[in-house]
Amino acid sequence: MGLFLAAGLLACGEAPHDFTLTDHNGQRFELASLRDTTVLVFFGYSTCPDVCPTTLSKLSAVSRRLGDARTGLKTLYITVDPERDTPEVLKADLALFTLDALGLTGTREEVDAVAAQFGAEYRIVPTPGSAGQYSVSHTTDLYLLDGQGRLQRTFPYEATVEEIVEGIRGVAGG
Amino acid sequence: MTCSANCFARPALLATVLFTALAGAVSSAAAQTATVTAKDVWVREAPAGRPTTAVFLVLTNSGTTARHVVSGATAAADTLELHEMKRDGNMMQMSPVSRITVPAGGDVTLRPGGLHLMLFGLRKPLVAGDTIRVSLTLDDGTKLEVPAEVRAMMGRMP
Ligand SMILES: [Cu+2]
Repeated sequence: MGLFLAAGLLACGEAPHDFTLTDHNGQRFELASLRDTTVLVFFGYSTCPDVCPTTLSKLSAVSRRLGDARTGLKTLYITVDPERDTPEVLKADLALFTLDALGLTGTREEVDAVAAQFGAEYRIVPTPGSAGQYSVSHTTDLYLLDGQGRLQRTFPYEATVEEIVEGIRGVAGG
Repeated sequence: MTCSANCFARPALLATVLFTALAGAVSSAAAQTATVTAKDVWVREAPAGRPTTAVFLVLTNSGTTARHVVSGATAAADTLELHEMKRDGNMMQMSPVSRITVPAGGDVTLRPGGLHLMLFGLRKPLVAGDTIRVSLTLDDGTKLEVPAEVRAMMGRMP
């Protein structure tokens, strides 16, 4: 009953990304509305006890490090568990961080389409006997888009705050 | 079991009882059963609406026999499960495990990105600075009662 998704990663600097999902305020969100903004995208889910909080903590530190330049940056946290991660759940989670971020959810089909666009993968793993019923394995890369929605860099989960800050400055034109 | 092992075990057990009573009195972060002790126990904060969180700690075994945590419970949540987060190829995967081994004369660290105690069905929001109580059951039937400090999400930078 596992779902497995994979898609080729768009080469850096090629066609701009676009997609539409629902944000944590319940509003429809279009990536195209963030033209001229540098965007960080990652995939996760709120039940996850540490990968997602760790990433959000790290990105909060990135934001602090950017100082005034942080106004040109938006973080998008896209759930791969839309059944459980309603806008309300994402909003409560993000409220714990000092970060200009949107939590994004949608139908399973919408989320799948966006994951495929980025080459992100996830797999729903049933956990019989667990109160969680299932867990979601997922890739933990962080995608950096320029102000035109074009993928400029992909950071691994282990990337440091400094590396991400440098990458953002490079894309935002310093 | 040999006589010498028996003789050795008794004073150790007595010391444990005394230590536990003392630890309770000063509400120390440490607690102790026969040979396994816990320290650095904390739980990630959980806002209203978030039904899950995780507890992290270091377990140390001063005995000569490996011990295993086989289950646990807390009044703060409906269910406590033993879990592990690990890398599976290019993905991070979380799975339940049947037990967590504390090696003889060694320790095991439950930390973000690895082993953790997963709480499902939180009964109320967990606010940084609060304390919850967690009970762990070992394979020899002993129980380890430990206070876990609620820490802010932001307070834990890797
Ligand atoms: Cu878990």
